[in-house]
Amino acid sequence: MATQEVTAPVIAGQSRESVGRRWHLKLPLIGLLLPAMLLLLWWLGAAAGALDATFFSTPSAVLRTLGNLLFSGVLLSDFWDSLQRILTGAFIGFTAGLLLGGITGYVRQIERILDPTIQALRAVPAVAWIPFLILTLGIDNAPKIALIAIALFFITYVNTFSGVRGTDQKLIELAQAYRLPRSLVLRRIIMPAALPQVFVGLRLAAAIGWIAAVFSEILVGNNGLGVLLNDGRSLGRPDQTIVLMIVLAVAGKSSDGLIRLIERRVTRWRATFEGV
Amino acid sequence: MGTTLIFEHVSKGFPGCGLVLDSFEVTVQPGSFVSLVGPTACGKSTLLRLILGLDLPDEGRIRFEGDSAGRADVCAIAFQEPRLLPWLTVHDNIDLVLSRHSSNRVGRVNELLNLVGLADFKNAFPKVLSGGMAQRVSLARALANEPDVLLLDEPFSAVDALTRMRLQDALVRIYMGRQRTTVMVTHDIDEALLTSQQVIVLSTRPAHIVDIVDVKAGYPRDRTDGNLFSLKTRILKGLGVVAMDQQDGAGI
Repeated sequence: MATQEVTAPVIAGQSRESVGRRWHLKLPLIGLLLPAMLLLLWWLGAAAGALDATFFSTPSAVLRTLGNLLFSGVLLSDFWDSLQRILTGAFIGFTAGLLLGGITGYVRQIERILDPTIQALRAVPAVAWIPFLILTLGIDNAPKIALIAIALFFITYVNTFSGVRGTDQKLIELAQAYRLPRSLVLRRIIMPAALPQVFVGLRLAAAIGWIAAVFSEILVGNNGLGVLLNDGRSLGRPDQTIVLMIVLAVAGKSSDGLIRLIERRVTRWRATFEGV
Repeated sequence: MGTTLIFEHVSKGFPGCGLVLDSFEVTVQPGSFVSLVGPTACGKSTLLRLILGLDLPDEGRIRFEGDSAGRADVCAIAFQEPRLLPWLTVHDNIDLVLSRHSSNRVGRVNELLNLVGLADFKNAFPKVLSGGMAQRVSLARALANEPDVLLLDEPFSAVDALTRMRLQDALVRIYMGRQRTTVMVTHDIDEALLTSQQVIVLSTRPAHIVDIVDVKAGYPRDRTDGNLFSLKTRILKGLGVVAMDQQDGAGI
């Protein structure tokens, strides 16, 4: 009885510690395990002839195409075209969503006036805007930027709104009890309280930004990643479509990682579950 | 000197739970420490909310009388839970409520943190504080603008017994430093007897005054004082606890 009581915690402590250390050591690399295995499967499948190269291409062909696209400068210039659109559209859509979501969240009367219209417009799928945007803005940069801005606006609006409304009523009451000026309540209570939810919106928005950009470029475009992707299809070049998918995966992952990094910096005060 | 707090025929009801206060009258003498004890949900916290102006009475009024009466920040409160802003450091949480006109805000915050013994945690975020520490920050914040009326809403009910005793001692020490009008809502009769000059015993809703117990002993008081014990019996009788036990013949 007595020995059990003594040994049990020791074993638990040891195993917890060693497991923790093992996981932490491999943490930076462990995420690469799955892609590496998929790559290996693809390579083996292609080499054994189990995967038809006309549809699935081969890792070596994809690598070659990546090299060609990089050295010719095509990939970089098209990447830059897409990125510029996303950043411009995101700036417009995010700023508008932040402002309107914040104001409607803060002032009930403005919510009553604006929110029904915004919610109705939000119900229109972003892609359904495309014909209208092409008719009104042509087929150059403007409709694509507009599409990105529209898609991002709604997602930022909804998240900012619910972030503001999610402010703990007890903290507002505290502000009332101490008669804090409105500017201070906004700056020191409501804005920080809404911040985590705004970041949720931003992460979704970044993903949607890439989707909207590529989609609009595939539909109408003369430059951008979507055009390269579409060329791959029309020329029957699966290697090129795969290169572009990989580029988009890396770009999306990087933008998400950047946002998470900023999020962690500015919400250090949070005391939430971080996973076991 | 000091602010007198006068309740004149104050009535307050809430939809769905009827009348909480019915023509409530009481006068809190300037500079005195008054505790309100009573059954749960009898309207004690409502009284504090009315004093703060967070709620308005349906009838009657609450008057402040004194040299500084009429000033906006005449009252300050420490809530049941610390209510610190999680995104502000301990320093910034106190600085937040400090009057914008105060000249030496940094010095004042340091002074307050020294008063509650948390100078080392100035730059900590609330998430690293224990319950007792957070409540001390809340108390420091309540004292920040030197309010004439200090309101305490069961400030120590959520901390462990030992921490609670330390916080009670700190509160008495702070009160001895400046005898400002203090109104504390509490469930803890010992706490009320240790800190207050007057204990007001309230009935169930709508709250009316069952008994007013004057505690004459000087500060600091001894927890084991026999006189306090006899007053405790009187308060328990007022709350109906002792009487009920005798009726049931059960005891505790």
